[in-house]
Amino acid sequence: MAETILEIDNLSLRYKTKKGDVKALNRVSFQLEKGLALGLVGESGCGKTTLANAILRLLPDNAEITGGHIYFDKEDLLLLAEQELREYRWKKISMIFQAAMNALAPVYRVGDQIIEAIQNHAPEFTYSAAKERVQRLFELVGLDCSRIDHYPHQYSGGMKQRAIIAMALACDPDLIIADEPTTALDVIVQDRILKRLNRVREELGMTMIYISHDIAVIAELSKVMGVMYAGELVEFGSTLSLFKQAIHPYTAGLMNSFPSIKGAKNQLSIIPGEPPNLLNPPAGCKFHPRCQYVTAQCRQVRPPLYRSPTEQQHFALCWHPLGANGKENDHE
Amino acid sequence: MNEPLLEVNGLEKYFSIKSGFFRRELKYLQAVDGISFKIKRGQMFGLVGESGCGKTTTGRLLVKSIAPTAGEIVFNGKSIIELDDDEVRDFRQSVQMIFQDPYQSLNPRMTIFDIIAEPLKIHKIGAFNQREELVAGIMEKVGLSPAASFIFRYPHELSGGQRQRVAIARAMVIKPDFIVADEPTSMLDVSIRTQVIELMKKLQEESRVSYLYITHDLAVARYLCTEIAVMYLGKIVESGEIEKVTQNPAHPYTQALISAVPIPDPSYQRESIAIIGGVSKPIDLLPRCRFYDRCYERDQHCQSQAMPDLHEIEEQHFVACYQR
Amino acid sequence: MLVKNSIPSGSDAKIISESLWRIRLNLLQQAWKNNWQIFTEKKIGLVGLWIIGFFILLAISHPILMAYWSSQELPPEAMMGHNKSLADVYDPIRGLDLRPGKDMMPLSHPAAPSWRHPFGTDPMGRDVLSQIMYSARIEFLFGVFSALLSVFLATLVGAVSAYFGGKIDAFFMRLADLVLTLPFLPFLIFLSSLLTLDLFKLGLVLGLLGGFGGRTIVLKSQALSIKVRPYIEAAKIAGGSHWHIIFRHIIPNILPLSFFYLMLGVTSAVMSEATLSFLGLLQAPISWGLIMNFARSFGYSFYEAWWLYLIPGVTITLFCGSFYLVGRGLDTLVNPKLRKR
Repeated sequence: MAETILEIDNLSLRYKTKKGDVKALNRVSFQLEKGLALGLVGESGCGKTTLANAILRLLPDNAEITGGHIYFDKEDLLLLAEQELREYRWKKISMIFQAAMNALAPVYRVGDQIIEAIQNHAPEFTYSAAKERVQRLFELVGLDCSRIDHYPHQYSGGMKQRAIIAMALACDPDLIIADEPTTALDVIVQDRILKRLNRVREELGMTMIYISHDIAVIAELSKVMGVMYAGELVEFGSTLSLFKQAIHPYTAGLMNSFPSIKGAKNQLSIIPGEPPNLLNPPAGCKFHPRCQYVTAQCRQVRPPLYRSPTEQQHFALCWHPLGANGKENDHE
Repeated sequence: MNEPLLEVNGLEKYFSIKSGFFRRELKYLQAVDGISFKIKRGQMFGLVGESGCGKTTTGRLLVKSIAPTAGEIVFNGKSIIELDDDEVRDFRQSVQMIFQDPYQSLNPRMTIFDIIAEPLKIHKIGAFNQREELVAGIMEKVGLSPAASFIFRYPHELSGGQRQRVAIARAMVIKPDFIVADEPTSMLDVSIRTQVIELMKKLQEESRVSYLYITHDLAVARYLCTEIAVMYLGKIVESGEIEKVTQNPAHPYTQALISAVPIPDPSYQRESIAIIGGVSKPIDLLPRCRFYDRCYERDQHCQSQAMPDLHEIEEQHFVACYQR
Repeated sequence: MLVKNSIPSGSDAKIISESLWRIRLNLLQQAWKNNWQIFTEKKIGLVGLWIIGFFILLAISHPILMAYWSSQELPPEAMMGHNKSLADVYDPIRGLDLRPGKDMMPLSHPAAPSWRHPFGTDPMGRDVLSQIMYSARIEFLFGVFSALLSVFLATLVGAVSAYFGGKIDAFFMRLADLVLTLPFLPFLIFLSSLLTLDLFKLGLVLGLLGGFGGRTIVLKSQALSIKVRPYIEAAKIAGGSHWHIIFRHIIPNILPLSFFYLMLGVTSAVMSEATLSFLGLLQAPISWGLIMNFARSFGYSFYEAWWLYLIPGVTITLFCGSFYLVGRGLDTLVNPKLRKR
């Protein structure tokens, strides 16, 4: 078995607000093997961005980690002092933020901004060495090298996103976390950037966490995927296994929520209701108010971990796992 | 049933842009550049394209929110370009629009009741207490039930999905014949999006209203619409019956666009067609095929000829390309 | 066109059980309560409100005190002059205290603060405290009138020029530029030489200048950001008239900012008034600025009669400051981004 690069163990996190505590993450656990791409899918407010930010501890002041561990290369990141954690950021773990392309400063050349980022994190680089590095990065992400001296306004949205990816790759990180990197882009540009990102990842043998609300993107890009709902990781496993037999009713519903451009036109399945307010989440299984299989048990007790009979790594939090005990997966 | 409710002929909208020193140089952004199509009664017509292709401008032209530069829009057998005041009032009562952003499309200082009743008030439909009933009725229909618990709330107290339902209710309350829906689901979360898509489908089937459904999401268009038109830089490059266009696209742009849509199936090996470049702005265009610069099938003929017209390549399937 | 099919009235479960006006009243109450909560989060606004409350108390207590003093006959031995009741002594305009002090000698005016005159008297022997109290009422009326006028105009003009744009917009914006470049004080001085400036006229002038000046530009830019919201377009598509859109959609959304400017308007109006009074260019019976003006024109310096400068000065600062503080407190209401989560 391959080496585990990242292990999240029982991580809980809350945001303190005036109205009360928002339980943004609740006992999230998973392991990620080196060199794999993990897709995290979920709706807004499900905690996927919080999880990503928690790994690098890029959290707002009112966030408080209430329990658990984050192991990166066997080192517990939560025990590190801020100063020590800096060594990890960018160099070992880097992040592509949501709408990061708008974060390029308009008055500096794009190349210089990346060079500055490199020198900030790796002072041993001279200006010319850093510039050479930027040239290689630009080639890697498919940007013309003449673009290094251009200003952000001369870039299109897709090109800016490529520059941001180049910046994230600058220090050869082991793990890249990409938080909705293509959300604001058009289909064709999105497709090209994702393909490029995936190729770069494979070439450099990096591990990647890919966060998206679009299950189709996750299906294409990632080997393993996790489904988050209301601050919990409700299902986790290999993408193939999840698509073959989703265990959690939410996952199954999500998969049938997307109309497809290919194949037969299926009726979409509606998940009724709305995601809960995390100020006051439901007891027991967080999904129970919207679930069609709900029983008294679901309403009271947090569901246990159910492991797929066919794949040990595939698990879900559910009292009534689909596909178990001969139950038909009627979402299919 | 097959008579068109709306007919668009050679519709154009140019926006003037002043640039250069002292803004002397006058240029035109050819947002919509000579498009023609027909929408039948009770039909959900999809208008698909990437951002900046002119699809939203087209929608705004059709509801007379902005005036066209040239061309003709015939609604219910009558041109809507030149109308007198009475006719405008009638027209305003038969068209509505649903917007993309549910957080911006409702006045934050009005209650849900006031928002939905606004078109009734403007057109003086129903007495005061009848409006109450009408509003509550339409609210139940769009799934805001029980209506009593929502009717006197403010938009900020509602979730995105509920707000979009309010916007739909506002559009439906005066029973229009035609609704332009501008990406009504693109800003909603997945599970909420499905609910709204299904709601629009249900309402459309029940009420037989005609829709122009503007979207960038081909899969959603395929799910909802019976006919679509694909726009690129202000022109329709391909149109026709939904299955024909999506399953057997003929125009190189449509082919590339469809091949770029991710498929929610990890075992499916999607081959996307690589096209060069990105979408430019429709300013200072050369009089030739709009897609020429990015096309992978272009030849000498394409370079020298004007923009090709839509022609029928099979029944109910039109494409604007010299190669087909 | 009639409603094509109304909903079946068979389900006669009345949806709205209360009368509409009651619901709206409740909503209004709720909105006030919520806004009050946000407002009170920042203590700065509350402090301002307390000070305003104090001034209101001053303003309304003066006539009450006058009525009381009128009923108080002065003892005969104090009737050295023409005084008949205490009210004549404490009259802010005609008062003159000729009563003897402890040494049986009349006070020499201006008299420093004492028990009899806590804020002292002015060179004409009038009680400064009564003057301050009496003026508070005038300042309130004047400040609020001028600010209301300017904000009303600025809101309307801002909304109209943002909505219509084009020539209307150009006209009002050039007018605003003109007002902004106008040298304010010299203009008022010039104006006072043309006509006798009383408080009403000054309020009118300040209101007009404010209404067509800088506030218009700010409110217009706010209205512009509202104008492009889709709900405006939705109302237009539904057939809403220009005035429907302006009054129903644009103005309600810029009103919080107008309210903010209302507070700042009071501050600036009272400041201008004080300046003009101090310079002696204003035709008014009495005002805070005039107290200082009298002291100056009678040749008393700060060292000789400090109370005649310090007390009205502090009063003006407090009064203007209090409205400014309330304005700052409203900031959070106007700018939801400033609110704490």
